[in-house]
Amino acid sequence: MAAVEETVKQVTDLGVEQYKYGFYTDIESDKAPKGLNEDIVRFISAKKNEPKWMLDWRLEAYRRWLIMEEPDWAKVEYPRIDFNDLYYYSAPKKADGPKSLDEVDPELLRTYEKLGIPLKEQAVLAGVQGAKIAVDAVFDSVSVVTTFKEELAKAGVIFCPISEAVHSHPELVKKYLGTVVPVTDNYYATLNSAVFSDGSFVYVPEGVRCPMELSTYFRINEQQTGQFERTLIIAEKGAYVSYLEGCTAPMRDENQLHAAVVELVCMDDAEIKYSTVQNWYPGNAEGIGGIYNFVTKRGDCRGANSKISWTQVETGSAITWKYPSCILRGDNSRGEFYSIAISNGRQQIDSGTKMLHLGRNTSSRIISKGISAGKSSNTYRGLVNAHRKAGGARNYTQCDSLLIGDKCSAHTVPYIESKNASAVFEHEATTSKISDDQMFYCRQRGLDEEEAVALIVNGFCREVLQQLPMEFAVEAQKLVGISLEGSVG
Amino acid sequence: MTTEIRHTPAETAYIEALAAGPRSAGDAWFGAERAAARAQIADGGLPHRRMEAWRWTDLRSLIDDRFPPSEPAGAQQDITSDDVFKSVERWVVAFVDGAYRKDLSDLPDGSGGIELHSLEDVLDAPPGWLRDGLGQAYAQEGEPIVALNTAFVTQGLALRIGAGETPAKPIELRFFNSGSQPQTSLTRFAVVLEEGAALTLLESHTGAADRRYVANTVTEIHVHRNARLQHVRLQDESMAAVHLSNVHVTIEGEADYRGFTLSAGARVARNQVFACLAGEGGNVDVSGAYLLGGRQHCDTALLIDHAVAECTSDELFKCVMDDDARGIFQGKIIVRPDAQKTEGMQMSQGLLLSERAEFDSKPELEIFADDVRCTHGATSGDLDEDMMFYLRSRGIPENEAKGLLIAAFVGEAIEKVSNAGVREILNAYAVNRLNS
Repeated sequence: MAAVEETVKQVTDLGVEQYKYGFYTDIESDKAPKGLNEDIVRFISAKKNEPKWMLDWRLEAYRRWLIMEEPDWAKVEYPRIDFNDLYYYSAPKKADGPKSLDEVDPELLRTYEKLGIPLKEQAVLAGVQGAKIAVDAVFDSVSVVTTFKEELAKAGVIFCPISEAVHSHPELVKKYLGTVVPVTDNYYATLNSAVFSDGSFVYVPEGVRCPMELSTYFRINEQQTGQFERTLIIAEKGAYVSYLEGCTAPMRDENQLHAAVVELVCMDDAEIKYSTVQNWYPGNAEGIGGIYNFVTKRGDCRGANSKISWTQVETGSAITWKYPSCILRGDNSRGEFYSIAISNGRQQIDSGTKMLHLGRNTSSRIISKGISAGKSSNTYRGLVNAHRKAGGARNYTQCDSLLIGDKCSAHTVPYIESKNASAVFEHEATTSKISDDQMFYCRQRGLDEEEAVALIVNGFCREVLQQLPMEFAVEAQKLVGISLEGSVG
Repeated sequence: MTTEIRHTPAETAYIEALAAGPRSAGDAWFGAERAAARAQIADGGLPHRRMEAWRWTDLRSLIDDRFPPSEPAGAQQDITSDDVFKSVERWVVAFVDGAYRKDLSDLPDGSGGIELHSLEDVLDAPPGWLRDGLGQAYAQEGEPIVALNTAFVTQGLALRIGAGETPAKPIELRFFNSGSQPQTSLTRFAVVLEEGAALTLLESHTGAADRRYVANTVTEIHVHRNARLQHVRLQDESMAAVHLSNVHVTIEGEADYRGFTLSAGARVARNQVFACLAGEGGNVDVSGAYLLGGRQHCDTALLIDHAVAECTSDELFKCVMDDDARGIFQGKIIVRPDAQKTEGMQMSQGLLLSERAEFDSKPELEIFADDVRCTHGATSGDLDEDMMFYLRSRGIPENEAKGLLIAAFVGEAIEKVSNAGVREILNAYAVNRLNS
């Protein structure tokens, strides 16, 4: 019964508010002129005081982007984006970079406090005792603060904004940036390569187990501003790191663009666990406003016995276009993808994963739970591929969709390509609604309709929720409840 | 900057045939569709891998020579040796090189409510029931290989079973291609089962060994209320041939369509089935098996459209690939907004017997109604070691054990055929093929 009480309490606690992170922080900001051209790319690069090689890299990407076409194969519909009607750079004004937390603008600190993100090192995440989390807070286009840097440095872990890494560790950035997601990978990744402003850089040296969870918190605050963050995580031989990502944005009538690129590099025996709770503003019930979330995430298991695990809880964004993937290059490497995608209102989600089996005896597991409610559309799109030489490859895929209401839709589009006889692939998918029996059972025990749905949905997602680090699992479970509010009755 | 599209030899041959002017038969009422199809061929040519539905079957590169549309005069050919359904008592309608051959047919005697016309005879003045049924296939899908058929076809058959009638014997459509010259045989069929009628329709597709040709058939089927159609196809074309088949089925309320295809021949085969459940309580079952070896390439593309509520659909495909063969399965189930209480099941399984074989599948669900139960599954792998061990430990030699397992694997799909005589032929055919 404990679980039931918990769910019921969460749902009632949350009250009627639909999106509680929808506030706007009035903070003076430093913006680049609207629009996109080579000068803007130079402007961003100059703002970051970047070396020439970085600027050249950006310009090359920009020139490639100009001749690329926007992809239209995803099952999402939106008016054409005018890329010249956006701000590509916006940063809270400051005299010099803050040396310590005390120097950070108190208005910013209050914002993060409101969001429940601990920026003070002694603070802990609500409801979790004794857990330490290092946070990199990205506000519009820049990282405002990174906590626990020193403690991490003692262990040899580098955790800093990528704009800082370009200066402090150029050899590492040069060596790995763009090697997992090439500059010309796709339209949005190329755009990101040209105009990315900040994001996190993590380097875990050989044999080091990162002593705490690392986390980046993304916040879009300004109007008409796109956020283009870039994250690069490298786990050297035998290293381990768990990384969390969270995101929110104010409620606005306009659509805002978020086009991020995340690259993971995993060497021999290393493991990277990447978790996302995506809670961008989804737009209102009529589909006005909301974030367009066009993200390229890819991990490269370069070494033998390496492992990359993606866990995502997708509840926000007007449009989600996101396929965290694993390239299983090293022998015996393993890729995992656990996903909950919840769409309500008029949200559109087209998300999934790619598992590319290249090495021998590689294995992968995909668990995807899609829940659509309201008038939303929820698509799972995935690829599992075994290369000719990927002897002994193994994949298990399970995609379940749950439909709540008769105005929503759920789609499953898996591609399975096996070029090797000893590769064993299994794929299962189901689509169903919450059965009357389940509802009756819960209602009979005194739960009202909405509580019953939240309970059943939590059960439906349990396999994925279990994969989240504890600190996030609590938040994610609540989110599942909120996102479905108003979807029944 | 625009790049000029360079046509392949095959496309050039088709475009030249277009220039030779429209074919007369059917232009009177089939004309608008035919004109659109001709424009599509002239414009788009053959389907290629940049088209999503053709990503794994690039006909532009797979059809590598000129195969102009056939002239309606089949070669003088003895086709008795290719009689695959010999042991089943049935009527036969024969087509050689894409031309209807009354002399080689064994036509129904008019009993059992069977109405049958050569398409050539009726295309200019079709009976009412045909006018409504034929020619819709292209308008609905705009499919490139249906366009090819629509643009050039003059031969085929219109078949109707009267209300409540059940013919005493199955009817076989028998196709033979001599390949005496490289050409595309085009045939078109309209099959209408009136309310409460029932029929077993067989198809056999064979050809002269190792001859090169393209066979293109389009079959439009309308199964009216309470009617039942069992449709069994055995495709064993020449190993150098290209086989392109399209089946369009409309299933009315409480009606039943059960289709099964055994794909054993052809260098390149593409089977497309478009089934629309248009009346409540309708059922559709589309299943098949592949037995591929050498460099064979076989692709099945299904579209099951649940347009109304309370229908069921079931698909099972068992695909065996040896040597360098490539098997492909693409199945899409659409459940429209009002199609509540739908049940849809789909399973595709690939068995790879060689290191170089390949199996690709794309089982797709597109669901707009909430009270539904749809599942799909796809697997791919080689023979199960435990099963092999079980058989070997009981003294069964390796090859025999392998044969047993493969026959059992394919047999699961063949089980779907309800006519016992036909089922036995298919099973024997599969075992025979596996042993050779």
